[in-house]
Amino acid sequence: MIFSDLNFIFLFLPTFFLSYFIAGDNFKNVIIFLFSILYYIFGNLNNVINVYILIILTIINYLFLYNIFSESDNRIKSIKLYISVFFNILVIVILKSGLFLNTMPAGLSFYVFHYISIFIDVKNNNNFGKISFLRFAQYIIFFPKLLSGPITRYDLFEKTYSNKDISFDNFLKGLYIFAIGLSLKCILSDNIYNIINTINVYGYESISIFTAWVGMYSYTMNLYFDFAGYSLMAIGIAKSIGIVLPDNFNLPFLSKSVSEFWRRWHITLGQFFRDYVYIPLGGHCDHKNIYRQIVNIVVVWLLTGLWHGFKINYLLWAMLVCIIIIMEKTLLLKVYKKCDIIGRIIVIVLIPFTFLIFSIENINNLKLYILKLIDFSTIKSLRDFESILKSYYKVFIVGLLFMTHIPKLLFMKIYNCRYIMVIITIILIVLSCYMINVTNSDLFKYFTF
Amino acid sequence: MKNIEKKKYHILNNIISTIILIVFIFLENLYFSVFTKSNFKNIIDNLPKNSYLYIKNTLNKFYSNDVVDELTNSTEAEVSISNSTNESIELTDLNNTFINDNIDDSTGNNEQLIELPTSEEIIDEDNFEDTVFTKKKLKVETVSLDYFKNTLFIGDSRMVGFEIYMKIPEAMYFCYTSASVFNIFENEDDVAPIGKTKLYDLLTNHKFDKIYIMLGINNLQTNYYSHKKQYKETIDRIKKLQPQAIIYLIANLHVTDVLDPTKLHLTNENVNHVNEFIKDYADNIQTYYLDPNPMYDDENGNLKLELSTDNVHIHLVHYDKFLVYLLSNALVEDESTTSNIITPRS
Repeated sequence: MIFSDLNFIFLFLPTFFLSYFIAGDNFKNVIIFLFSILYYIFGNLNNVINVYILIILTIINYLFLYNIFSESDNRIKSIKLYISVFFNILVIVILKSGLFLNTMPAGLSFYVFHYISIFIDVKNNNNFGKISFLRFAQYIIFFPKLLSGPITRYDLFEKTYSNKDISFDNFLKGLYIFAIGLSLKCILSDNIYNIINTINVYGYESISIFTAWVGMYSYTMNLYFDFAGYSLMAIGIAKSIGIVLPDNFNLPFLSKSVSEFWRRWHITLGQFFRDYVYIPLGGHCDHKNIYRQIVNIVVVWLLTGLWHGFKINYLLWAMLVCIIIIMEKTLLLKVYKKCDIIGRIIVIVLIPFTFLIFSIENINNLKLYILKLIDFSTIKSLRDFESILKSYYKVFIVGLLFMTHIPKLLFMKIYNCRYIMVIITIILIVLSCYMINVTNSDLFKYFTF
Repeated sequence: MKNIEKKKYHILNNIISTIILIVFIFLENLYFSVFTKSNFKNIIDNLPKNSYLYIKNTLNKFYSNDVVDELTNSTEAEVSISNSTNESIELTDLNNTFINDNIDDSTGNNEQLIELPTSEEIIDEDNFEDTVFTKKKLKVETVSLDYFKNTLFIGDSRMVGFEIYMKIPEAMYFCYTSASVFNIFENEDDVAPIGKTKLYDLLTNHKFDKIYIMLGINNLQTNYYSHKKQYKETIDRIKKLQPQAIIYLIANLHVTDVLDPTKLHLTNENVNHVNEFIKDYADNIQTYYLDPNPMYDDENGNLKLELSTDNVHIHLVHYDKFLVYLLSNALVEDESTTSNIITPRS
């Protein structure tokens, strides 16, 4: 079951809210836990094995956690940590490779990262109290973040989970955020996907240079609104029940450099790699040793590429981003300081290009597409471009507009006007549901990672 | 005292939320079971509609065509009996048409079929007599793009692809995604240079020399007989409205052998069934059958994988072959030819 499923919106979510708000304070966590399990079960009715994998992994990882926690010797604690992390990485590698299962269990990469995060935090922080199995399971299986994050650190989750700020105001604000996320996914992302679909039907060898550029930005917008929409829905549901989840996107296309872009895009994944890979490797503390920094960046991006999947396009994508970031660290940042418009242009042009590589799995097709981006000979016949423009110019322009900060500024202005927001929320939900019915709303892209 | 009340309140709340949870689980279970049943019901409902093709395809593996035709006709008759009165009349009529077609086929006299087009029964006799076509002598020739002057292309999304690839200024295109013989006269299309118009208005306000039609792919899951009947009616209507035009009935392009699990009807077996009756409706007097499929097919008769991304629509650049095919299979008037029965080049 996905957040943009009508069963989820009209059946699961209302029942959950009703049960949650009627339940007494000491019963609310149980309700969240039960509904989280039900959410995963209903979402995997055709792949019940995914449910077993989640339950078994959670039990095994709790045993690992208990072992790490109860060990007093730091050296042995470290060894136990390495074993636990290695086990989880092995699980991801095996299940992602498709050797045993045709499809990877939904949300595997995300909940495994939660396991790793809690192990490292418990090992490094002696102030952690004893974590009960139920609380550990609640942290892992909490349904708004179960399938695609945001990846939340245990200490932050625990803080908000045990001190829920339940109020009618928060409930409504959560719903506003949910509705905005839903509309980003169902109205914008799914419609922009039609452009990509049309280009696929035309065939990459048939498209003109302008269509190729429109397609490149469409791939970017589709990915952005899909994942940002999902993250907002997760944050909105959690906020409605008084739990704060971290932001995952912060207007990334307004960044002044590619490095900054990656601090604003999928923020929680970036923070995960920063805290658990980059900084332990030495990070950027040693400013004099630039080579060491470069090696660290390469390791982080190599892992980021592999985390998305064992496909050559993900590796190419990660390596290209890595090269740009290294160039920025060594040279370009000095240029940006003198003229920040250069950095903005690089973000606006190069980031969609990297997402193009990210989105096209077939290398021959990718080559063909990249060549089309610079094939000026196609200017002679722009029938395909005219056809796409005629059908999709509205959604393309709205998409570009939503990549800027204007919609967020408008939203912040009316955020506290309850009546206006309620009306907007209802309109957005109705429109989104209509779009779910008329378009082939597909799964969220990040469910596959 | 307050604490006791609060505790009671909490217990009551917990009981209520547990009840809601149980009801929810029950409803979800009920919903999923009903959903599954409704899916099953859909299959059952559609079974009579599709049964003919399924049964025929299966039997073809074991028996000769004649035996299969006989068997499937009787099966269809049985299906029609089990349906409601109105439906049964329609199905029986269609069945009869099919049997008549078979009788004609069995005589092996194709010329008789051509000389007596089945459209006679439907078209107003007087108007149809006005058709100058029977007197035209035609020959197949390779022509230039000028040939498409005063030409109309009618079709679905695959013809839209051709329109995008090759917008011939002198020609008109009445093509849109999801077009079919069931909706081609219903829907409007933006036809350059006129603007939005219905096909009927277009055909009554303009006189075309040639009309190319490619329809059928969007009705592969429709009742075979209804589709066959509707195709015939549509073509007859176009013939009636444009008696002077050469009408090319283009076979539906094949799909690749990759099956879309959500569109199981999109198979070349079904496409070929439709193409067969399209071929039958080509009277070689006013309507001519063109089959560009061999250009795009692999050795198994499926659309080559590399030509399409979605397994249905060929990439735009490959319409160049299509254009060349149309140009090299053009019918032009020929004084020297005595017969008016012409088969385009394969």
